Parts: sequence; C-alpha cells; structure tokens
Amino acid sequence: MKILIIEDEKMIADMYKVQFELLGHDVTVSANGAEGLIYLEMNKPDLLLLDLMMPVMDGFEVLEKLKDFQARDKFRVCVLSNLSQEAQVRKVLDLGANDFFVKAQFTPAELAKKLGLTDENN
Amino acid sequence: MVFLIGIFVFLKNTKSKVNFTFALHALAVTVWLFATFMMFYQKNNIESVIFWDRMVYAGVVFVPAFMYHFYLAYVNKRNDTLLVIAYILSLSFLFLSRTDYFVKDVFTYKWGTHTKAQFFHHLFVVYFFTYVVIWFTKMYKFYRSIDSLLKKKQTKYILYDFLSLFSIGSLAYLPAYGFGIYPFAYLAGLFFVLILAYAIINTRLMDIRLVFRQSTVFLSSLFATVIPVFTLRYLVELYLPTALYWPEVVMLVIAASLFPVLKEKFSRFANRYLFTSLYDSKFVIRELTTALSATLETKRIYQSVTDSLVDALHSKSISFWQHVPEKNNYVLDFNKGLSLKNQFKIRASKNIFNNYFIFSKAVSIEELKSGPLKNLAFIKDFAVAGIEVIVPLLIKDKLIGLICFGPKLSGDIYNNEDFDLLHVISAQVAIALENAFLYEETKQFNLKLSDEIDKATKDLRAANEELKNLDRAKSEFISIASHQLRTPLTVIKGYGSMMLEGSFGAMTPAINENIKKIYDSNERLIALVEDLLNISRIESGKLQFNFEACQLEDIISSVVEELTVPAANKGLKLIWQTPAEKLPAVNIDKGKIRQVAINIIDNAIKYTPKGSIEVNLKLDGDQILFSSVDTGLGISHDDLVNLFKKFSRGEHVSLLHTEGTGLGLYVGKMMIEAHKGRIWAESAGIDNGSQFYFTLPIAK
Repeated sequence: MKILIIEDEKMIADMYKVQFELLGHDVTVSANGAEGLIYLEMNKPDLLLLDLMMPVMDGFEVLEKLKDFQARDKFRVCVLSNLSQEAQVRKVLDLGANDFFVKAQFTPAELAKKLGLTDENN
Repeated sequence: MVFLIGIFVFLKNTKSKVNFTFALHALAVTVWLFATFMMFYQKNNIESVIFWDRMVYAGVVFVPAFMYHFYLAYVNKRNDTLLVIAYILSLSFLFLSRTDYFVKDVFTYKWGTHTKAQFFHHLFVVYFFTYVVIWFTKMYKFYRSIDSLLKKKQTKYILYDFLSLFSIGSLAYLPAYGFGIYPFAYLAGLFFVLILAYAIINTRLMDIRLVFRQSTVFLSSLFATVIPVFTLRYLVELYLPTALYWPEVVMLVIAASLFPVLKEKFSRFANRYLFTSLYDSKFVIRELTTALSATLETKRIYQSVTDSLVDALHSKSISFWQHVPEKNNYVLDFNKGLSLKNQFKIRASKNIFNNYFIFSKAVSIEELKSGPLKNLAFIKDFAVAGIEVIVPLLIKDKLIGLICFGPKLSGDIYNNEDFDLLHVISAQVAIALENAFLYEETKQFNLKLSDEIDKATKDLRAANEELKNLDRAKSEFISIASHQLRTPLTVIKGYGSMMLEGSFGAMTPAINENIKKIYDSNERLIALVEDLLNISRIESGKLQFNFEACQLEDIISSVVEELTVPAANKGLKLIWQTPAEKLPAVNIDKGKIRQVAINIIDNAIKYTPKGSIEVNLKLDGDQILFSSVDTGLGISHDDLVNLFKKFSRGEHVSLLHTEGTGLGLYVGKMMIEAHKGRIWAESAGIDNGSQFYFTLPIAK
C-alpha cells in the first residue's frame, strides 16, 4: 500500500516508516499538514496516517481541508494521536476520519495489524 | 345673666379648676345681685328687707374666698394657707350674718332701704377689702410676668372685670353705713358681665365662646318665640278677658312649634353672617379618618385633610411641610392658599421642637412670639409666610412634618375646640403620612433593589466567566500534558518493541533481556500516565461517559479472550462461561467498563501463582453481578480495607509485584460508581484466594 504519514515528531514518524516498510509498504513522511496535502494531491496514497498536534496546520484543519477532496473516498484516513479526550475523538470522526488510535497504546507492530497492513491482509 | 354665664363656664369644663372657681364666684355674685333686687322689690316690708339683705350677705361673704380660689386656679398655684383662712373667715361670717351683730334695722333712703351695719359687719368689710387688695396685687404681678400675648390679654380683661366689679360694687357697702348713695353700684354687676362677655369672645377666655354663641342662638330664638306669644296673650287678656284658658293652650302650642323653626333660622343666620363655624368635631374626625384610611398616596392625604379641615375651620390657607432631618429643615410639600412655591424651605429649630412640638400640641404663632424663644428666625419665617397655627405631626418622638394654618377667614382666633380637633387629627394624619412615605420608600427601594441585583449578578457573571476560562485552561493543560508525556513514551515503546521483534536485527540475549526491561518499565510509565489522566479527568469532572445499551456478556467475553494467552502463559486456567439465558441489557460506557474488567482479571492473573481464575456474570435482582474468583495470594484484612483507595497496594504483595501503580482499583471504583454500581472484594486471608465483584444496574 501507498502510505502517507503526516507527523511532526521525526522519531515517531521514522519508527512507523521502518515498521511499515518492513512489512513491504511504500511509506512517505510529511512533517506538516500543508506539505502533506500537496503530496496528497500529487500522489494518491491508499492510507493517510494523520497526527493531530502539529504546528502551522494541525490535524483538525487537514481533516477540514480533506472534506473538499474529490478523491476523498479513494483512501482511508486514520488519526494517530496521543490526545484521547472523548470530545476530540468525536470531533475527529465527525470531520470525516475513518479511525482513531492512541499512539501510546500500541506498538508499531500492533498498529500495523490494526490498520490491516500485516501479511494476512496484504 | 351672671348666673347663666357661671353655669356655662362650669359646664364647659367641669374639670377645670379655673372654670369651677369662676363659677362659684359667679354664683356668689348672682346671689348678691338677686337678693339685692329682691331687697329693693320688697322695700316696703322691713322684715323681708332684712331677710333679703341677709341673703345678700350670704352671697357676699363668700366673694373674697371664691375670688382668691379663682386666682389660685387661674395662675395654677396650689392652695395655700391664705385660701384656708379665707374660707374659715367666710364661713364664720356666714353664720354671723344671721345674727344681729352683723346687720340690724334699716336705714331708709328715698330710693329704698338698707340694713344697718353692725360690729361684725365692720370686721367683714376689713376682711373683704384685705383680700381684694391681696387679689389685685397678686393678679397684677401675674399679669406682669406673663409672656404669652394671649394670656396677657385674657388676664388684662380679668383684671379690668374684677376691678370694675369691686371698685363700683364696693360702693354698695356705703348704704350700710348711712351714706345714701343711690345704688348704681349694682350696675357694676352689669359691667362685670359685659366686660366678661367681651373677654370671652375676644380672648378665648375660659373658652365658652362656642357655648356662648350657641346659647345666644338659643336665647335669641327663645325670646323671638316668647315675646310674640306673650304679646298675643296680653292682647287676648285685654280684649277677651273671659276666654282665658283656651288662649293659654293655643299659645303654648304655637310657641312649641315656632321655637325649633326659629332656632334653626337663627343658627343658620349666625353661621352664614357671622362666619361662625359651628362644626361637629366628631363628624370631622370621622370623615377624615375614613378618607385617610382609603389612600396611601401623599397627595391624596393632603387633599383629604385640606378638604375637611378648611371646611370646618374656614382657614385662609393650609400648608403641609415635610420634615427633613438630614438637612434640618422643613420643605413645603403641599399648600392651598399660601403664596409660596412648593419646595420652599424653612430651617428647623431644635429649641422649638424641644419646647413645643415634642408635646404633640398645636401651637399658635402668637404664643411663640410671646414665649421665651420669641426671637428665633424660625418663628419669623413662619409668621412672614402668613401662618398662624402650626400643628406638629409626630409618631412617637419622631417629627414627620407640620400642618400650618393661616388665619381664619372670619378673623376669629382658633379656639380650644379647634386646637383639640387639631390635636386628635394630627395623630391620624401623622400615621397616614408616615405610611404613605414608607410606601413610597418601598417603591424606591424596590427599584434600588433590582439595580443592586443587576449589579450583583454582573459580578457573578464576571466570576462565572472567570471560572469558565479557568476550566478551559485546565482542560487544555490536561490535554497538552498527556500528549506531551505520551510522545516520548510512544517512541520508547515503539522502538523497544521493534527491537525486541528483531526488526533491527538480532540482539544478543543480554541486550535483548535489558531492552525488555526498558520496554517493561516504559509500559508501566504509560499505564501510570493513563491512570493519572483518568483520575485528573474524574476529579475535575471532565471524564466523559458514553453511555449506550449493550450486553455485558459481550464485553466480558472479549476481555477474557484478550487475557487468555497471558493467563495460559502462567499456566493458569481462565474459566468463563457465557450465561445460558441472555442477560438484560445495561446502559454503560463500553470502554470504561471494559477497562475495569481488564484491571480486575489482569490483577487476578498477576497475583495467582497457580490455579485458576473463574469469571462469572449473573442477574441479581435489578443488578448484574460480575465476579472474579481466584486461587491466588489472597488479601489480608488490613489491605482489604484500603484496597480501592488511591495509591494503595497490598502491603503483603508489594514485595512480589512492584509494577502496579496502585491506581487501577481506585479508577475502577470511580468508573463503577459513575455507573451507579458497586465494587468490592472479599478474601479468606493470605494464600486463600480472593474474590472481586462489581454490580451494574440493568437498563430501564
């Protein structure tokens, strides 16, 4: 799968990149929302992993922008965040995200499984 | 006539000593005059002359005593020895006058006869004149000492009155001594009456003016009836001597029917042309009371009072002044007839208040002007405004205001009856006005109150805003804190797990082992952050619950599934059987309850070295009961008590398992209780296993 990770913490982004690449996927990392959106336009990934707390443009804004995407239904958006407030989860889902995961709860391997990226689903 | 006046005076005020003594004096004089008259009438009969003359003296002997008594009452002094002596002497002379030692035989003069004076008569004359002199001296001294103009006037008349009586009347003694003076002295009696009448009318003396007027009305109508009747009778007698009895009866009938009519006519005449306001005080008071009780508006009160009082008293003007204690002045609130504008102010005077107003009696400007405080600007101000009478309105000792009256239209002065009326009314008006003022104050207060409430709520609203801001800040802090803490924890967990999975290549066993330690420790940290976050949310009321109806067995099933492997790894049996009968649904936050179940079962696995853990769900009344029974280390009694408290870990087990944060069960308790359920644990003691339970109410 073509995966785009929009995450400003380099260490975390790289962590997932390594894991998913190990599983044979094509992973690109974008450090902020604006960059990510541009990439999204140009290359059509199958999965977008979106962090919420980012400078310049945060995850919520990206989701807003994504609502206007014509090709929106062609890919999945999963929010990966360390925020876990009920209200935020709801907001994210209302804005059109397909799923929400708390990073600290899963190892990259577990996350891959949850996202359907492991061998069984590949 | 003298007698009548005496009677009226007495009747007017039976309580007043002044009136009483005056009446006595009048009585004595009457006796004197009457007897004298009789004496002359009978001048041809010596016996009767002597008899009547003695009668004369019966009256005269008391004159000094009564006179002196009258003086004492008039100047308000107590009875003194002089009075006692006077009475004693009078009485003795009374008895003596019966005897021949007093008068005897007669002198015959051309105009009539008079008894001859004897020994005791001389003594009597001495006594008489001594007291006369005493009386005049004292009376004159009193006259000089009076400040009140009114009283001075009254006293002046009394002095003149008695002066005329005695100077001329005393000459009546002369015939007893052989002086043949024509007894015009008895005219002194007439003068006495006339001067007295004048005093009564003009100076409110003994205040029988009203009675005087009423009786005048009565008498004039009486005469008006009697005279024609008698004339008629006389004519009939003259021309029809035989028909004597019939005319009498007819006459009486005519008189009886004429009299009331004529009285009415005279009364109205007196009222209209003489401006005499013969009003009925009781009627005025009743009328005013009714009017006052019907309103709470100051304007109305003023109007009602004006209407009834001006009608009764015929004053030229009436004005109401409100007392303003803070500014120490009186403010004109309402007036009819005064040429002043409203809100006109006059400075109050403490002296006037303390000396006059506090007694709640109306006071006339005249009185004030002749009183000790005559020079106060206060008096001048009111006098200049054309005010003659001031009525203070008091409630207890508080002065509410004044009602002021200008002079009467008829020019009369305000008499005692008027003052009495004003006194009674002032109390009523004071209360009515006080109520009206309080009512207005209440209305004002209500306005002020709503202003104050607005202001207070403004403060509250501001405080509320503050709180809301604070709340938001707290939320933000929790979010950010948790996020910031989790980020590095995620990194450690991520790379740690990947290393252990061999994603970066094989590791030596030693490295592997140590990486594991790091990883495990990190897991504890993550759990701790999770717990702290939850607690923080619970305690600030921010923990949101997402209640939905669901089947508890589904949740427990999934939890058991998740924990089967860890349990198996320890060689423990995790027993769970979905209940055969479907349980009623529960309204819960799935995630939270799941967490609680995981906590409990996970704990059970942790603290059970070998054996089994049995998980059960069953319906218990209107609750669903979850139970987890293990064959583990058990819980001591002391630990049991503190089990669900914050940061508690079993004392006994802390040596063995140090990973727990001590928050798990506390959070669990919060969660269950938020669902209105109950959570508890039981244990038979160390090494005897433990049982954990919680209940959840079924969905209604």
